[in-house]
Amino acid sequence: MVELKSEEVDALRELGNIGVAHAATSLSTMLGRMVEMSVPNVLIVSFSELHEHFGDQVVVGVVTALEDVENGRTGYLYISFPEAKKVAGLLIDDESLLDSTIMELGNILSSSFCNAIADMLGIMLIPSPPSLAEDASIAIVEVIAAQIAEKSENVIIFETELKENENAVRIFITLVPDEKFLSYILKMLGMLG
Amino acid sequence: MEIVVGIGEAKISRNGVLKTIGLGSCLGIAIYEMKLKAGALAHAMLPKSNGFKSAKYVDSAIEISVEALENLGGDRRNMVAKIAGGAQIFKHLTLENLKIGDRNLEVARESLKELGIRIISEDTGGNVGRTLYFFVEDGRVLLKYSNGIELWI
Repeated sequence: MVELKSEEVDALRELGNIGVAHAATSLSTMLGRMVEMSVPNVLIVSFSELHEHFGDQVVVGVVTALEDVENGRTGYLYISFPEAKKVAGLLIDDESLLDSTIMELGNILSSSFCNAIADMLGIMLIPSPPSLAEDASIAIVEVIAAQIAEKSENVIIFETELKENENAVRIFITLVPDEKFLSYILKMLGMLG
Repeated sequence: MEIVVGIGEAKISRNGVLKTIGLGSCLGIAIYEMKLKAGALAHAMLPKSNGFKSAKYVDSAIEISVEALENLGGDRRNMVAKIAGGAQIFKHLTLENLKIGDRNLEVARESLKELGIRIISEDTGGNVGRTLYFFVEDGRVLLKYSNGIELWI
């Protein structure tokens, strides 16, 4: 694991909180009732340690590719829902709409998150359309990571909580940046923090 | 005893189980030294290393595994291999390198052939992730698919 200074963790958590706050606003508008989201914890984890954070159970998720065309930096955003049924139950009543609810939530989260990162770092990030991904989280992350693994070693995991009234569910937002992207993020956060 | 092999790692053991979780497009390479009754397991992401030796790459992972077994007193003439993984998890995602699983597999076959190590069984391809358990005392390999199916190879 990359050891971060507490200011860097704070800055990363702040980045995550801004991303999910935007998503919560869109979601609340869409549903017509208040939904809260927060990022209580952020981790930077190397590929070889991923198994300590993700088990081998199947998880529903959404993957988006991010591209900073101007500077040739790339990354992927993987949003996973270990409690997909609970999430869907919180948002809608009809369980048969699970996949499309998750897809829509993934859509909202990835675009909000992409915007938040781009704003905070002062870059232009273009997201690809999201794809539904349903498998063990490690298998998903490794496929993504293999695309940029020549130039990267680490992922950032934002442990996220979605809350409606007293009900809370966990969502994981995993950013898989290439090396250039990651060092830029840490550099910018250092300057901000 | 269960030892977990992370992504881009290779480990050896003389007893218990070597385990690796969530093989997607990556390749799990289990090499068994039959006389020594010891095994090496690698979880490699990319096909070729271009000189940089790391278990992240299939060709290096195989070299590292074989050397480690030799250092333990093994002989490559007594080694056999089982491989699993190389799935295509995404059907629709527009990633540049979707065929990475196939290339990993190709390189594994080449590298093992060069070292004179026979692949005695394999389970590759498909579109489901796999978790691999390598029982190093007798060389058995159990695969658990993400969809619940179990398979001994």
